[in-house]
Amino acid sequence: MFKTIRTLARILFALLVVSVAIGIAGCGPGTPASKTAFDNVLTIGSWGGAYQEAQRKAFFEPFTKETGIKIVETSTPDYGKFYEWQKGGTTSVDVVDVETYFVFQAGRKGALRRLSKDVSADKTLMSGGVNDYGLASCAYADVIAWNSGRHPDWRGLTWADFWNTAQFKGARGLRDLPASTLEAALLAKGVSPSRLYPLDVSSAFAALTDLRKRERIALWSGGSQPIEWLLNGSVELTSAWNGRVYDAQKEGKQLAMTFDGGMLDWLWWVIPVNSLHSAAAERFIEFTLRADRQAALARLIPYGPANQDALKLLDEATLSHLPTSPTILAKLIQRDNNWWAEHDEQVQPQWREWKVGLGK
Amino acid sequence: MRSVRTAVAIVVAGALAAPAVAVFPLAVSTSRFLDIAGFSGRWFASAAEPFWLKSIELSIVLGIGAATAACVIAVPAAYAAATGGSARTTKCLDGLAVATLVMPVIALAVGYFRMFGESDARVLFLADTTLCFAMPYLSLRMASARLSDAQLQAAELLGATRLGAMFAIWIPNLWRPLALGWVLAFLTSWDETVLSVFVAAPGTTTLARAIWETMQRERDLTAAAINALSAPLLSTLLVVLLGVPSSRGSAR
Amino acid sequence: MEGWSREVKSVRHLAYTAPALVLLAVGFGWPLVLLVVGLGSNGFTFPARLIVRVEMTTIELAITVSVAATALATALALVVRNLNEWVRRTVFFLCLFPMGVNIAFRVFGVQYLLSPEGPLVATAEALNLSLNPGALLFTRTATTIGLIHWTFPVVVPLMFVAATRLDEATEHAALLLGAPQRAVVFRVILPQLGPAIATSFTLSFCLAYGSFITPAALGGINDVTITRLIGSFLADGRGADASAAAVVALLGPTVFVLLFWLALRAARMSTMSTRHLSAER
Repeated sequence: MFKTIRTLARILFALLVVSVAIGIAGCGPGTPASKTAFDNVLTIGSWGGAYQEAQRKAFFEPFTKETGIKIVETSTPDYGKFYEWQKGGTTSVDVVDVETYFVFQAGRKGALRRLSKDVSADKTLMSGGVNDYGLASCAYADVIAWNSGRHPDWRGLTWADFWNTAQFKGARGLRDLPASTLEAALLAKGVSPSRLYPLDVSSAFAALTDLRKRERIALWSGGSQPIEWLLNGSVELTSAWNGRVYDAQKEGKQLAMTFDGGMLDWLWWVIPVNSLHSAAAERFIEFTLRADRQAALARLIPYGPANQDALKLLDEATLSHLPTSPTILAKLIQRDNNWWAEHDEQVQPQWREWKVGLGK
Repeated sequence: MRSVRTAVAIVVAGALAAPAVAVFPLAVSTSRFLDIAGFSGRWFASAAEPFWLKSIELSIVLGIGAATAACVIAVPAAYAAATGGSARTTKCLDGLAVATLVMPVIALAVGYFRMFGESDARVLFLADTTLCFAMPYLSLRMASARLSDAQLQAAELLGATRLGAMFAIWIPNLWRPLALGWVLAFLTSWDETVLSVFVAAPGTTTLARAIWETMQRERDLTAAAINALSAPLLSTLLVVLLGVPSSRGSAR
Repeated sequence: MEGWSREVKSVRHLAYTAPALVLLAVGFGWPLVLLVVGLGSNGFTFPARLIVRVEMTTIELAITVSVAATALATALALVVRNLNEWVRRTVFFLCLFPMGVNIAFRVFGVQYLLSPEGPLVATAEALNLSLNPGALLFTRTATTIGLIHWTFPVVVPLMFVAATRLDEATEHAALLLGAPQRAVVFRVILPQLGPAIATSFTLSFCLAYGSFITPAALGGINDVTITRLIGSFLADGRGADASAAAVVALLGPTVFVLLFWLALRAARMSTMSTRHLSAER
């Protein structure tokens, strides 16, 4: 009897081993982008949420239809990752959507691939949106947002109001990035926009520490978070990206925003220096900069197109919501990305310390 | 007095379990922004999209693979400890098993990152098996401590080899702790989020990672639908195997 | 099993434990070694102040959570002791149900419950009460609640089993002799539950301490835990800092488990010596 049981047990054991082996082999599909030799898969990192959905409809799906190149979507990593990729010699993302100051900073440090001139040829792009290492795709604004359903009497709030915790009670939301947040602190303390740069960093941190003593602050890293927080009441006042607020408003949510004191910036496409799919990546970037594609994106989410020809394809209603429209542009402050490109590294350690309460 | 105690017990247990039970109403919510204003099947439909299906598939494969591998490795090790193996090795394995349970996984993730960089599912398989090992191992160790040696001694006298006795007597007697260990191991791998987020490359998304990323960044409630289907099954399995501790002798 | 002792000393015996040792060496030991090696990759400069401050916060948080979780589990186990079998099964199932739900979702459930647009506030409003649980979000309280929810299903089975093993005879004797209920609880029941309580406390400490998802979702900037710090270093590509923080993070549970083991040994020693004394009498 022992013998039969033993044989059965051995067969079962063998089956288990085989199934485990199949399991290991079957786990193959998730090979990182950089390891595949084929140029028909592109990994693209962006900011998620309504913005990435709009990009999917305006860029990713049409691109795949036209070229047959499949797109794997992921999120824009923290910027420090790029330097790690640069050191390590590989990268897991081929095209990334990033902010201006990072393009300047990383370009200088060699973490980004030089783009060939054909990508931007024949396109009327904003002059400030062309760089050896990246191409601007759209303009967005950092705005102040709140829930008008819960606070119908709050109108036209400014950064000074944001810091006024006595009159405007409730938790605050701020982006987990010193850029734009330090400016907000200084503006709240009465610094005039024309005198903002060079930033008085210690004064800004003092203002932030002062705010955090008086009210809870939540830091967001994903664009949908402040919207979500406003809707479920976790925060009452927050900074946010205008396109996300507009998207929620379109869904019938009672959110309000103000462009006064808001900050304008551009989002750029960059290719990490060690990408193995740079040809496909450049093809993709060229595709997104075409006038019709840019117009398609602007219709889905109100971010100003970089390609000026796209503006001719848009109707009045859409144009009026863009941060680049004259009325709105007049209210916005242009972020000094050269200052940030130079000083971000010094500010980061202070930001990290401030985040855990060690700030001065 | 008894009814008060019953009520209190159920209320407290319910309150502590409430965040998990919230999965059910959220699974049928109508809007992405958390309105419980109506009844909608949209999240179940969304769960059938390729992105979610792929991550579910990966999690199931990893879970079954890692749990099974962990059991296959843990059974002989626990058996060796039970039948007079080297005390030093036993203590070493016991200690390592406990260590994998109590160490912060993210600290391990830093080491894995240095070892493999951003990697694919095979590394996750190794990591999951390592983390899952403790479940069947400790479950068997504790259960075999309570098992009497008599059967094994009888088998030895009747001429069985050590290996044969393991298959013929030890495992059949301990199938319940082993099954419990397997289920706990599966749950460990199923729920393993930290390594999946920090060590795996963008194309390798387990269900846990997909849920974490979409819930915090996008408030996509598809995770609610998936959990509404999987959680009752997994939890029931767990409770049945664990057995409700009863004062009338050992757990069922 | 003397007949097998020959086999035990043979090489074949290694086959039983070798796979486990190899797995743990490769999957657990080697990454930790690399972790320590990684300390030097940036010239041994670390944000020490930052790491220490965060570590202190984490330990505080973990202790609070484990005290609360253990106390709740113990109380619950004692309360359901002699109740109807179906009540006990329901309570047990309720306590363990969360283990089948993904942690990222469980954490979201806590956010949802505490949110001003969630069911708690809705119920309070229906009852004409004014409640503001949303004020708890992004605070240490929310993180604590979330972590208690996380560790609770793990300690409940431990305490339930321990409660079933209580010596009812001593309890009844004490009550019959006129001891007040309180004294019975503190001097008869709890000492018997001592080891289980200690195990639960240690286990929930380690779980709460090592948790990343819960503090990351529920915590504000005033409760950054060591795990969140490591996470942000990793995401930022700061490998050396991550290694330093990870090494410090490993100290917490190690120290705790060591203390626990020593306490257990001390307790065993003292019971052995008292037994020895009473035996002599």
